[in-house]
Amino acid sequence: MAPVTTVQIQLSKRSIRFRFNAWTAAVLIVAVLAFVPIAAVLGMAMAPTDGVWDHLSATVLPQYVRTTLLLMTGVGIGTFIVGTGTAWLITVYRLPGRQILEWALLLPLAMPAYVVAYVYTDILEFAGPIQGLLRHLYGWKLHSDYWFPDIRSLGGAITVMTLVLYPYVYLLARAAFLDQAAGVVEVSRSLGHGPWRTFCKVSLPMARPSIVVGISLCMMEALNDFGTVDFFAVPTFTTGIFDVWLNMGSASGAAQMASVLLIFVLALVIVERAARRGRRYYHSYQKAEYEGMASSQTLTPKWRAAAFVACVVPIVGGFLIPAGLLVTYALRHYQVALQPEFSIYAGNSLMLSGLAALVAVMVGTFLAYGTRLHGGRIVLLATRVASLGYAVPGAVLAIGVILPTALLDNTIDAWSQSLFGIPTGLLISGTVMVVVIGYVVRFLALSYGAMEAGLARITPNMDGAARTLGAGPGRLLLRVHLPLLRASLLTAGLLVFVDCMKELPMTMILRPFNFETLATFVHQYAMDERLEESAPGALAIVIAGILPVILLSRTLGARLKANVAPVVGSVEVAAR
Amino acid sequence: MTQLDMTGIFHAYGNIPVLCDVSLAVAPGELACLLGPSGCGKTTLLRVIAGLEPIQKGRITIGGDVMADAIQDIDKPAENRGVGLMFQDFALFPHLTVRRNVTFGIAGYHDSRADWVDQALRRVGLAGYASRYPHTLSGGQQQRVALLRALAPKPRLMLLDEPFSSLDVTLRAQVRGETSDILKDSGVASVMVTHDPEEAMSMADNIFVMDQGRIVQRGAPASLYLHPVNAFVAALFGPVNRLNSCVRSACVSTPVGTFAARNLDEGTTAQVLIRHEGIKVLKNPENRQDAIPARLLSARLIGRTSRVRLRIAEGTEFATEIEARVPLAPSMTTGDLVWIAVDHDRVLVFAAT
Repeated sequence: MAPVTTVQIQLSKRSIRFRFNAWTAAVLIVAVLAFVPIAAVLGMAMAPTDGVWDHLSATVLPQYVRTTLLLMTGVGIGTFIVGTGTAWLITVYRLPGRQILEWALLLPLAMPAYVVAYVYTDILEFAGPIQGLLRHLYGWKLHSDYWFPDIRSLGGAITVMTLVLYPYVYLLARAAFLDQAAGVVEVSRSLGHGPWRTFCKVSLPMARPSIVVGISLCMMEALNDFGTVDFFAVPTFTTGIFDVWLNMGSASGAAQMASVLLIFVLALVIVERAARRGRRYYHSYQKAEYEGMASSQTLTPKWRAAAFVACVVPIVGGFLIPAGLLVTYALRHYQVALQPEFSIYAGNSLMLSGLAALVAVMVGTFLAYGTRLHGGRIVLLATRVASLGYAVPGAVLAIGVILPTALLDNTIDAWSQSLFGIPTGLLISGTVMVVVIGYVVRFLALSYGAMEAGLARITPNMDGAARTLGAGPGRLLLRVHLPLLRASLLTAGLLVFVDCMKELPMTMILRPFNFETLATFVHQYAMDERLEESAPGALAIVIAGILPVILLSRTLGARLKANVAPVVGSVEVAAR
Repeated sequence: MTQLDMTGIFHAYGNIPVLCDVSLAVAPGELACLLGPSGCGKTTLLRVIAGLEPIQKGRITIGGDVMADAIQDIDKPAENRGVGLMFQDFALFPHLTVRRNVTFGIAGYHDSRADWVDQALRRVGLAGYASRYPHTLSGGQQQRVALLRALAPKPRLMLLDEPFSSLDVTLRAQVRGETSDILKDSGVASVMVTHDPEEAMSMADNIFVMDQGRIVQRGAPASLYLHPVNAFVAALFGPVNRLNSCVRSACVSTPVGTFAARNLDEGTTAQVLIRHEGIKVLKNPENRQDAIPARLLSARLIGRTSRVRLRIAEGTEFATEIEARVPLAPSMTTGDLVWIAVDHDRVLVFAAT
């Protein structure tokens, strides 16, 4: 086990140099492996494409760029307004049911965007109940008789993604508002600024770095999304990559598209990192008395009602309506869940997510110990690189994983044939192993973040205390580290597990032939206009997704309590 | 006979030297204090003794056994040194009860020895707290648990790193006394790190003053206070007035009097340090020849003494302000002309740096 060696580092002078090198080397290897997919995409993009690229850039590429930019902008603005607005209202005003709203605003995080998209399409399309009711009421018959917004559009995609992604901004903005000393707000008000001007001139600028981090996370998720844009037929880069990869069968064409998408990601990562660096300058030294802060601001009943509605709408739209409909459909089609295929799909999902969670937690723990024991510049840089996968859209990462594994398989096969005359065939690609590799590369940041936050709570002095009390490395690990890290290990595993359950684009590209998970099954059924039958599967994914929301909601209430720190930590490092 | 003996310790973090040729010895049962400003290397020294920092140069023996020797390449791990270490933040294990914390270091601890723990807890006023978790205790209680935990394995040497700095000021004096008693009762040799001279003087048998990685002076509290080797040590033990002047015929002349220049070279600049309590403020001196006129600028009662600001040599080019500490509130008002007399035993003369 890696951690055992860590503690031995200080045993004697000679072993330090040796083990230190071994650690650095091992961390570097992990970082390089995690970077291989990105490098593969960039490398493959250099390969000739037999005119595919020229064809693309002459036809669909400008449209992809435009739609993707519009989608990012729309989601950015939407999540900013909803996330920051609700965070501010909840932090400052004493709204009815504030304690419930506080965590309920996180619920949409449990909803995969594509599930929300399917549900809203089902109720808002021409044949759906809303338009049917309108036609019945007003006697319209044809589509041309009246105007109704088309949910299957860019605007629809922006709305759906805003509804499920705003909690990222809410979470970070709220933490930033809570961190602001109540005194700052009170000083501003005593200097003659009303609540609104105080918000614009003091609170918002102080929270800006955190909000920017949140918005960049949302934009990364928007770039990652495949299910929604595919279902709505919105031509973004992600759908474009699928089109080139699956329909045109051009690997290098897809890689070139993916490389362009990586430029978008790179821009977001740079913005996000700059904001993160800026954040420390906005830190207040005094802790806010949030209860005092909330009671200090009162509203007239009318405004109070408006503020309440503003906080309830995102919860209803992003969680209650879709979840309610899913439950209704699932009850109507519960027998789907009883069919043998369903349990196979569910089993596949559980197996893949469980395996990926296990591996990600192991590697994440290893990296976290690497940073703890030797936080040198090289190790730090290596962990950053290893965490990069979280920012890279699943489709891009999938292509980046499949190219080198196929190459590796072919090399092994050729080598085996020439040496022993035995063809090995495909060992890794086309198996579940490659899916697990993809998941781990993408979600390593989550487990690493949770473990790093967990380890940070074990102060170096605790190690020192244990050692001067006679505890050797093994005892230190078993009696001090392990019990204190148990919660972090669980959190790390849970976060990775749930994100893997929801994962769609990577699974679609990497899965073995005829291999279905709950996510791909739900997507397939929704595409075939059989949403109601897929409801039990979608509901299963949502229920799994609620688990981390519960963890997160506990951190909101007791942010400083030791046992929940890992969750915040993983959100913090999520996009490093 | 020494319990801790360390010679020629050098230590550096990367290229930054932290400890420079540090040697010190502590007798059995003695409480030694490492005193110095933050960043002077005293915590590093403690960690080197405990074995939490690898030895780079020098030799450490505890109770006559070699713990570390850079030349012989001996560096016993912390867990085999039999050293108790108490941290500034106490570093109690949050997942263990008070009892489990205290017994963590006792080899082969068995619940049959629970009586011993209860007794020890009662002795430090923590009876009935055995199954509580650290976060439910007050700062002072946590401090005692940490102390007890470090002492429980009966260490041959006890190290304390700023053990009172995370406590309330009002609590500190009391806890200081208790800690002193507990350490003396156990008879263990101790090294305590602090930046508070009052703390060092009230607890230590011997004080080692550190500055920039070196030990600049060692000795009993009183001798350090009365005979500091340089201005740094002098200022460390209490506020001083500083006056600069040239050495002329083996004497230094200042507006408050002329003092012997000890062995300073003729013509060099000397620094005269006068402790605040070395200046007496008088309304009507009996002997005006030794007294110097001064203008009272302000007087403020702070507890048992008053802090007085005065201007001397008013109207001349040597006009300067000095401070004095006098018992109780003087019956004078601001602006009065008063007389001051300097206690020559409280005047220290060093070469100006």
